[in-house]
Amino acid sequence: MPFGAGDYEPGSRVSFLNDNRNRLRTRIQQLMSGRRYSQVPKSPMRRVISNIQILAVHPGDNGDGDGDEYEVGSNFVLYEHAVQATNDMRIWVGRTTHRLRRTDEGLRIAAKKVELVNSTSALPNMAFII
Amino acid sequence: MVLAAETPIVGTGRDYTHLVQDYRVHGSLYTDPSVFADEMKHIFTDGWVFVGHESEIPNGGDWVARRLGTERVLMARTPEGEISVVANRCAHRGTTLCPQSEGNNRNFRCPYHAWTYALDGTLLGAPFPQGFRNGKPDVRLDQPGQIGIYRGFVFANQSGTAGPLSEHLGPGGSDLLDRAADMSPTGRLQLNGGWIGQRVDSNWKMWPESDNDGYHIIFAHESLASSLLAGSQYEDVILEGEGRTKSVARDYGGGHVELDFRKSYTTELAWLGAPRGKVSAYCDDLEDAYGVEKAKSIMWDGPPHAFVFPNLFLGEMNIARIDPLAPGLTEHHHTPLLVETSDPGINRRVVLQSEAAMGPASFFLPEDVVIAERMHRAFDVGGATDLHGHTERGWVELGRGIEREQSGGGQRWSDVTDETTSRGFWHHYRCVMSGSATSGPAEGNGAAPPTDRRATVKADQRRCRPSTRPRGARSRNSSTTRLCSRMSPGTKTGWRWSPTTFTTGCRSGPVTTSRAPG
Repeated sequence: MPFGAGDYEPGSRVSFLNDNRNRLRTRIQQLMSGRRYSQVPKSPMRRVISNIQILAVHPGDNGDGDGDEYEVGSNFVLYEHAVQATNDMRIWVGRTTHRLRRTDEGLRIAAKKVELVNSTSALPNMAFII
Repeated sequence: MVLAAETPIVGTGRDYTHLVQDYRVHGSLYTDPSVFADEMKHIFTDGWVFVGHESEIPNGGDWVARRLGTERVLMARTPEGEISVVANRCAHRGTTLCPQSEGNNRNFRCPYHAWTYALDGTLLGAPFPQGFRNGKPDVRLDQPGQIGIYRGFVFANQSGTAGPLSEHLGPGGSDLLDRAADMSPTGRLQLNGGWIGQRVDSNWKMWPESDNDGYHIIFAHESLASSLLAGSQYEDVILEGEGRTKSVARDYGGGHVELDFRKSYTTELAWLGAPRGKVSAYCDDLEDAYGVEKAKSIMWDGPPHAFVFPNLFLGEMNIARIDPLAPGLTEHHHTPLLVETSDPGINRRVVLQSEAAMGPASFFLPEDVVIAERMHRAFDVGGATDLHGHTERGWVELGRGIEREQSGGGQRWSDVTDETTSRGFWHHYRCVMSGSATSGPAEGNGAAPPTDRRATVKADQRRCRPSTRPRGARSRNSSTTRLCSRMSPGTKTGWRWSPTTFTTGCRSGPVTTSRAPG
């Protein structure tokens, strides 16, 4: 999740989050510990996802002509009831770009980028997985 | 009603010597709007406040938007290379000049009537000159009474009456900034990695407390005990528990405090979570610049975990500034502590550590945020006046370790889990807010360092040192300037995946296995 439009090399300047596989595992462990107090109790939330577009299809090397990886864009609106302290209704709005890979188990997320429309502002806690 | 120029618009008569005691403070200090108004006057107008770092604006025309207390200001580099701090407010009708957070401009032009200002705030012109006596309004952008720069850190004092910056920093604050800046082999930090802002619905004073509280880490951040914290540098420096580490909580006086982890590190570069082989060029640069001995101590000690009164947090691999916007609203902004070095990898590691430690989606700060917000709500009961009028209840206990605190050489210190750091902040706060004195050295009273290790527990035992400078005396503008060199900008490809990383499914940044939380 970059700062602003993300027009910089990840790691060359600070982002809201820039998880690799290990960090994502840590994030899940932290939530599952029951002591991630910024999500105790958990925020009730609902997402609305729309404007889903396949932006690019990358054929694989198995010769069947099917796409093996897809770049997919979508817009979202996420309502979060922040019940931990403030009882605010928080509205998160942005655009997600997924890298989806076709595997034997179906489509899997290979990478994901989330651009919030207001990421240049000071933001409240986002301790859930966006 | 017309206020005379000297009519005080704040000054509530709150008895801060009662509300701030040595071992406890009253909860109304977080929530009472009149206390906040007093703070804007006594701390953020009459005192020195951190604004930014000169490396953020390397070129003429560069500027960043900041707050001095609640007031919007711009910190800019003039074409001549000087640093200026001016109000982000047109001197005509008050329009905010720059709504963005940063930019580069030849001048500041107001959109309302096109009044145009140089980067130092001088009015260059206003349209239709015949309407003005002498053809031009005789105004300029408001500016602080004085600005001061130490090791690239820019501070401003609105009133101009706070005396020299060196007096505000004292030996303790100066040493902390030295240790942060010395992390760069050139002695110059490069705080150009961007700022991430965290909104907190709490009073600002939760942050000098929480950012420097060695007692909470094992508890509030327990959710990381089995992952990031295990095996990290924090295991050695703080997680062992009371009396088990060599880390100490330090109070340097003047509100400057530190969680001093230096003696607890058991390997060099433990604070970075990487062996020397991963950042060998950085270590070589340190040795070339400082010599082997000093480079060794830098590699072992790492950057400080400390607070410079009233709004600058030196958070190891982060620099953070605390913006108080309202009694119950604060912004906590952080930027990675980047260094000038030939090493290709260390700054990238620092950014990754920064992302782990701070910000709304990090592994650490959200817990501190939600606790601060809960504290604020717990004291915000039926209006602060209720608490204020009934001070037999609603106190915050900060007495942990007061009996075993040691002092000497201008400092106090105790076990890292003791509340010496919070007491250090609040002691100085009391002196400043009671309005007629500055805080003395942390050992207090100007007396010889006690030989008895145990301090006497007694309310108000620490006194303020009478100011040697008459209040209201205006010191000369101590604006200092220096052009800093700049690292060549790297190739920027953006947050897009290259074909290589696309097919491997990894993000384009380096994958780190470091478990150090930063």
